[in-house]
Amino acid sequence: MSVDGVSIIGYQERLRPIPADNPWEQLKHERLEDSVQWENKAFRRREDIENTSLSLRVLVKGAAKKSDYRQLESKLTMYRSELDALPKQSDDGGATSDPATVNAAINFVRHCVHLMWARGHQDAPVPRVRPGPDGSVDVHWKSPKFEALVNIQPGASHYDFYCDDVGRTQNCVSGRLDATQPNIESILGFLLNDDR
Amino acid sequence: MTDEANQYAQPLIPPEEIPDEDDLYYRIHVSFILDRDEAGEAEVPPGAFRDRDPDALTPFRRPGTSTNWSKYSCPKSAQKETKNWLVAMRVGNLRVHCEVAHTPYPTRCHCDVYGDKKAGNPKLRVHLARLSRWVLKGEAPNIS
Repeated sequence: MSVDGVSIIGYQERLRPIPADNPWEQLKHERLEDSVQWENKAFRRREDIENTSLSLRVLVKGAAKKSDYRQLESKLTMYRSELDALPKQSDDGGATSDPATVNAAINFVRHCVHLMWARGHQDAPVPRVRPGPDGSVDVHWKSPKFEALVNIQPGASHYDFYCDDVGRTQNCVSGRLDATQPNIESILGFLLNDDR
Repeated sequence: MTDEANQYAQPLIPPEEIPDEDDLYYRIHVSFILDRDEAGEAEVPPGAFRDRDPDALTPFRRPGTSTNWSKYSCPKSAQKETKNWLVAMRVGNLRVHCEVAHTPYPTRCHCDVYGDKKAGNPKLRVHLARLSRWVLKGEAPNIS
């Protein structure tokens, strides 16, 4: 199978489609962890070829179209330029940013969105990448039905996160993600449940 | 008087109990304001909430978020500079999520909102942003 002349590696069948009516069921899937680890390997490989053409990215995920990748990358480029324009230090309480932390945040967003695409969610919400306190970067999803905030600290080995459904129920989840291999299943439960 | 006590030039004002119905004002630097909400208004960014420098010279050793109590401060004076926007947070709502204390140094209106806003607690920052409402706008933000 190929798209634009590029072969798609055949691992999509390894992922069981996420049930549209109950995303939480995915959490119970006995092979979920294997699937996510497999995907993370794929993402690392994709990072190695980041500067190559968009077509190559289709190698990693078969679910999204080229235009989806372009739109995502366009947004990420905008966020990166906004954050790069901030100073490294501020004496007047202004926002600051560190290029390495911004890079980590951008890669984390790619990881999340690609993972959702891989599960067939073409309209996966793209979070904002915004300055956080003390040179950290916030990855922020916000909709009327959920809000998720992941904070990425300079040089940290983990990312702290919090998600809830904006008070509709008492559902909320918070914790830490391993920066080297973030398992975002608990966040996806909120993001994919959003019918907007 | 000890050397430590000598660090503070002015005498301490006794802290007071803050009523639930009062507001605390918090300054947000315009560089944090980058998004609009659904109504097209500038959105209160969770990233703007942070604790003051723990090394700051103050008799109240516990680091918290510096705010101004509406009882002793008007929005204009709390804003300080036009590059700052100002939000108000109702004390009763804040107490659901964190601790609030009157810490009258260096001015009588100074209050602290306690709780780690740095790493480890995106939760509190999300709630602070939700509880905030704009009361004074400053310089035009860089919202595309």
